[in-house]
Amino acid sequence: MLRSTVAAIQTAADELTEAEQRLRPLDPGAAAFGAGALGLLGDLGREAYRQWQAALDARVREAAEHARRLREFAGMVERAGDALGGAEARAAQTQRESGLS
Amino acid sequence: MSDALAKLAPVARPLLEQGDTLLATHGAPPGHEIWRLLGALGVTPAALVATVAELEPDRLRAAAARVREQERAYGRLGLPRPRAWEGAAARQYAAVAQSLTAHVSGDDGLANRLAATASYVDTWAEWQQRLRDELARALAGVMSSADAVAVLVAPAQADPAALTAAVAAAARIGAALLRVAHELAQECRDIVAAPSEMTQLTFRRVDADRVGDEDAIRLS
Repeated sequence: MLRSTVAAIQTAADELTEAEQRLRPLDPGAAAFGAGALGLLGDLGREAYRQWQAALDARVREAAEHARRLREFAGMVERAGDALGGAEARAAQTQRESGLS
Repeated sequence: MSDALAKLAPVARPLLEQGDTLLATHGAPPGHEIWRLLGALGVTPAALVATVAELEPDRLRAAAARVREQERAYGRLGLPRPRAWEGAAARQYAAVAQSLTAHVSGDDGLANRLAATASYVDTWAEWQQRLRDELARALAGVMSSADAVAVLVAPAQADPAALTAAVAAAARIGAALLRVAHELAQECRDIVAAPSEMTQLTFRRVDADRVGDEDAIRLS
């Protein structure tokens, strides 16, 4: 049960990592915002491009950081499963030694 | 691009360049509206049309569409809830899993940040297209006007009165084009005042320490 749960969490983490990789190259370039234009329109285009870059960077960081969180969580669940397995093994051993099983 | 501006801009170039030359050489009439527009926009009519003709809103739309694809992928992201897992650790697991999932697809989650980012780019694309369309409309109007004829025949004019009339015509043509950009510039400023949903989302962490507490875990 825990193994499949851990695997599902890791799959979600992988999807976030893929999202990071898909988002990173999405930049259409400064020219697409009219950043090369003269005068006021150029000023506004450059500001728009700066905002887009900041937003895209934020989306990339969000994906990367959440992938890391999910992997940490998968690790915690995995360790909990390992600890549980060890406890069950010890309990079974105790039962056998005491003649209860 | 294959819209009206893409078709009109190359045809209008000789007229607009001649208009720019007349205004640069002789100056627009004192007090004419074009002085204010030139000052506000910092670009001549010919340069404005050339610049706007190079805008490609389709490139922005394509970027926005890719961001929305990712938004939909985030909406499908989920974590399992093991039904057979009980106890304090299971409750803690559920709390952490819920917070991790909500961070992606909750009301104020990563998916919404992607949606806001895509909307921002789409809004820019719409603004660019409207600027192209309205400039094309203004351009079509001036190209078929008597002012266009006055400007185009100006180099052949020896008559000072005809030259003065040509300069005035160039000022009217220029003002008609610059006015379009000036009126739309305020909307552009509003778009640039980006929504706060574009900033990086902070994760609201829950205490996950007890997930690893073996005594609290019980599988049925």
